[in-house]
Amino acid sequence: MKGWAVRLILAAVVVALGIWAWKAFFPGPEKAIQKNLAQFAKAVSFSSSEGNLTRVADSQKAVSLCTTNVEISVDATGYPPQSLSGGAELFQALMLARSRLGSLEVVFLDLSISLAPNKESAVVGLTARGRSAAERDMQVMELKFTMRKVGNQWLIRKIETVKTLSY
Amino acid sequence: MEAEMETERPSWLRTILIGRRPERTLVRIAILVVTCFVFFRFVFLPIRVEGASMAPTYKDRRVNFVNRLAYLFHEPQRGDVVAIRLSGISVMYMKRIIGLPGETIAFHDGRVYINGQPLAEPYVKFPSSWEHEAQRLGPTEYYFVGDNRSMPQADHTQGKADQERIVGKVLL
Repeated sequence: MKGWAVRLILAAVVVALGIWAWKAFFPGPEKAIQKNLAQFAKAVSFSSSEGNLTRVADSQKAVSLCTTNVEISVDATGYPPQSLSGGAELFQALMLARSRLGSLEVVFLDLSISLAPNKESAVVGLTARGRSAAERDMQVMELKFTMRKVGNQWLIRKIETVKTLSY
Repeated sequence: MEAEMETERPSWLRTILIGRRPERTLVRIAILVVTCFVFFRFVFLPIRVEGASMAPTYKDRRVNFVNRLAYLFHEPQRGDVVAIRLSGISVMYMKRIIGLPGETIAFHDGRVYINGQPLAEPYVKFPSSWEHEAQRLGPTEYYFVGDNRSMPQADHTQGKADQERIVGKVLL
């Protein structure tokens, strides 16, 4: 291979590495929101072998990813609508879910993030897929998350169900 | 002298694995990968059925495809089984269209009524006692429901949605 071609490939590799490093050290708001939501999904998920300390720690972790005045209203098929507000209520609900369901695996899919012009809030549309030991079929739900920037962190301010099929 | 003139022939293993001309094999593989990606992403989207809401027409865990070009030249029809997107296409609802834009839909004693007339539904094999008051669909709205009416009405995801949510028609 000629010398100029090698130099060109090396330059391309250096540029690609630079872009990757920039994005890794200075993530954009979308990346930070994605990371927060992935952490939230992980914190609300649990296995049947989870210990008491992990149970409390993960529930607290989920609460810490929300604003103190978080509002959640979920309307899942086959269940009565549920609403709660504030970190304390969320913590109680998570602990109750952990004691009632054997296990739960929550995954957020197909995220679409719309940032407000001032970049201080954002609306995220996503599909939540949940599998629990208590149910044979998976639960699927379309959700709308309202995110707020508090300091350097993006926190969940509101979670609402989007009725894909309105009845 | 003759031995020197003879070109070296590739081994049979190499011929099987990468062909006589590796460059051409590479191009063929690239074309095949791109074609498969486009075909299975934008034409026939592979899906796996989960749940019993379309039983007995579609059984749980069965693999199928969604024809994304089905409604390129005509509107969705009553009776079509379609895939309905949520926030994306990673997970979709699979339902049957029973109501068309502008129509009034009602359930009475398990039967569907369209504009006050009972709808013949040969695909419904399990009887039900579903009840729902009449509701009118908007100019771009369709009504979707599964074939399994034996399950409790509250546990069955059904309802109206805009046409733009239809990803395509289920192929098989």
